[in-house]
Amino acid sequence: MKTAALFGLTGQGIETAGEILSNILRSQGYTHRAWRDFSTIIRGGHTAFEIYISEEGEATPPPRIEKIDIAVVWDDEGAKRYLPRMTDHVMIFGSSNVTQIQEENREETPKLGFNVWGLGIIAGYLGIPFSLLEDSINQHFAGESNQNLAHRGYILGQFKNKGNALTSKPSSHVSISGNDALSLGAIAGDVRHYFGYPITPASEILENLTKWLPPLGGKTVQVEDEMAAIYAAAGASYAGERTFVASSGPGIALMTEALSYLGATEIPLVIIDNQRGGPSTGMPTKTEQSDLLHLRYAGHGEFARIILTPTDVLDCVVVIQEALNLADYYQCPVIIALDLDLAVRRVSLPWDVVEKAIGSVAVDRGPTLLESPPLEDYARYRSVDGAPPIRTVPGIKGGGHVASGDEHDEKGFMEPDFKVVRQNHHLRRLHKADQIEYQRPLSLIGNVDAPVAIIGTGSMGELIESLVRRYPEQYKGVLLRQLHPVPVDSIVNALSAAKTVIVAEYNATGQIRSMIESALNDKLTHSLLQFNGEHYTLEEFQDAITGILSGQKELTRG
Amino acid sequence: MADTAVTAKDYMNGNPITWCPGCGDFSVLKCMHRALASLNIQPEDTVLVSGIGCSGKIGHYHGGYAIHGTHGRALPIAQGVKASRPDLTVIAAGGDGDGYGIGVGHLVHAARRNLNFTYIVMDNGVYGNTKGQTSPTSPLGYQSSTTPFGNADLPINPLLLAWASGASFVAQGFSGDAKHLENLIAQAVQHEGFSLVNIFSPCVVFNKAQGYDFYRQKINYIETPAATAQDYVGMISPPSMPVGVLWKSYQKDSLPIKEQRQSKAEEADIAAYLRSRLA
Repeated sequence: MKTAALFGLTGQGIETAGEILSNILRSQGYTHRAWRDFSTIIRGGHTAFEIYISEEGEATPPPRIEKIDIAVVWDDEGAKRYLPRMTDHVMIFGSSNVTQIQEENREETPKLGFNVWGLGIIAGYLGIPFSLLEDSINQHFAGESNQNLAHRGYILGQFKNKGNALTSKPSSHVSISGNDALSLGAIAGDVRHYFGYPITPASEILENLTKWLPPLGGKTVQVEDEMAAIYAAAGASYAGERTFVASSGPGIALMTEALSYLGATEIPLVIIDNQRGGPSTGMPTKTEQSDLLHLRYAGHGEFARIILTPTDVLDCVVVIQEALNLADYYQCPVIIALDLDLAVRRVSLPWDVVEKAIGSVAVDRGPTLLESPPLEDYARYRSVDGAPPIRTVPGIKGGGHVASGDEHDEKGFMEPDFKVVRQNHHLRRLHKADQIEYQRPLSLIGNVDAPVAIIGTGSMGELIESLVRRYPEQYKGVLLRQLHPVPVDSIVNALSAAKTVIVAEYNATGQIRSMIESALNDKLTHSLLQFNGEHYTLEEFQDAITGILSGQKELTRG
Repeated sequence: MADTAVTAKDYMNGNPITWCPGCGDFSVLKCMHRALASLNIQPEDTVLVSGIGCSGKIGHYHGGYAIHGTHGRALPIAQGVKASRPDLTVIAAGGDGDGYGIGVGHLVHAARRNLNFTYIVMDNGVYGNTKGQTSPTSPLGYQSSTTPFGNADLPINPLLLAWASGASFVAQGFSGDAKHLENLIAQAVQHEGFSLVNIFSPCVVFNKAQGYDFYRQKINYIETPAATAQDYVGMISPPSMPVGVLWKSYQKDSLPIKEQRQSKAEEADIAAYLRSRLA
């Protein structure tokens, strides 16, 4: 594996340089994983780009690891961050602003242009043919001075190149982020209309669909706030059109009244929470998994909901398609919870793997009636033998009904006989998703006999998988994909041979652990809690796990 | 495209109406149904989206499709329907408390967005459903349980606000003049863009100060919409209470066509399409 880092100020085009590098690697068929760090301030802070490149032929993207093979930094802040991580100290380069690295690794570079110089160094080191680099730089950063800077950097990097060479070969790799994957999956799931409001880190979904829906005859509307987004989505869903909303903590909070409304009216909708550091405005560019209890209980009153949690980028393509089907079938809110790192993480994968994921779930509208000859005596909320009520959409003669947030009878009319309705209709609506038919509530990674089981979801997925791969005799992984209703039996089975269980999560109070507590009853359980906003490198994660096991650090639940 | 001739009766769903006797909303409901029938729109091709309040219950008395949303959110819901199903006739409805209080932000953006649907506001100058509090359109000095010493806030001017936000059709009506109101609603529905119809619809239980006689004396009939901004502002400035089509910024009129809903692309094509969108 080869790893590289580029560090500078926001506004220096670090992210674009990283995209160029990622794109070149993708085009040559190199599976890799990109890590983006962006300051919470748009100008005046720092930003970094790290890339982790798999060995040739490997199809699985690597996790974020500690060791960096080559780094280029703008100032001492970058040196401070990356010196401790270098495989070799002579492999860190910097502008003349940096005082902490050797002089021969420093050069006078302009503030704007530093990124291109840094890109050149990294490309030279990795053995990327210069022609590939030249073309991309011309595309994004035209001009002779940029070409010269790239060339200068390239020669420097080449000098340190110890026989690395990126072979030029046609590839079918694509580069996608978690947000991209959700967007792809949504379209595969027949979503053609989207209503969104910008928020970090979900805006990319809005931006993607703005471009991708019109050629399919659909459209995206950027609305005035999150309440408009979820209510517009509810309207579209009532009208029979598949859609979803995506936001982060603060936006989800604004949508909670609508959650209760959807629960009451049984209008299907998928709601995505790309969780970030909280509470309140929190840490908009940092990762966290601290909304889970909120997602479990948000919305006043009692109603059914489902919560799914994807565990890697490819999984995002699949989970949204599954969620759309579940929402149609159970006619309740289906919440997809992931975290910032998984949402913005970019990985390069062979296209046929992605294509398989796109086609892996057939669209199933369930009890939704899209077309019908005229109906007689139709009642929207009439359930025959406990089956989901048939849901008509506008256009069907005789299918007219009112979807009301007020408590209602079988026909949807408010001011019913409450005593009767609360005993029948309300209980059916409340308990309809207590058990769900969901194909894969969790993924079991590794040897079923391993003594230590690590439970996690979201961005923890790649760390758990990598650790299990390193030490298959010691660890097994349980990656949760269904968080509510809790798949108790599946979890109990997955944990059966384990002596110790560690629930690893990005929050301070052990929310996942509290939600699955009933499945952990007789196990010796520890919590691994991280809540400073940073996604672990594999080494940090391993240290934290072994620390717990050796009893040195007993991280207690809040 | 009409299947059979429609009458207002086809729009009734048999659900007993629980508005107070004398409520202005009865007339609004009837005029809306008559207007839709006169345009030969089938009930199953209509979606009536309402908010919370006495007026919000209107959806329960509509024989087509209806969405009874939450307080102040009828406009986003209606736009979600219209944006994704332009083949439907969409009407948003609610009261002044719902639409000009909590919902007032959405009014501005709905006017800007100018999607083709109609917003009917039953304006009675009071929060009737919660038993008589002052509302955004209650006049200065209005007395209620929440303004016992007289309302000190200037009332909202919805005709000015909607117009300033870019509304392409603004009308005002009176539930006490059904013939006139029916025609107004028909014109609003036909207008190809966002149309607001503010309707004086008295609450005979909680706002006795602004009842039928009050409005009958105050309203003045406008035959032609204002030609210029100055005319418009002059026309709607208090104490004037104009009724009629007051502003129509362009003459595009049409009704939604009941066309075949789009068929989704084949699975194989979708994968190829998605591949083309990625780097």
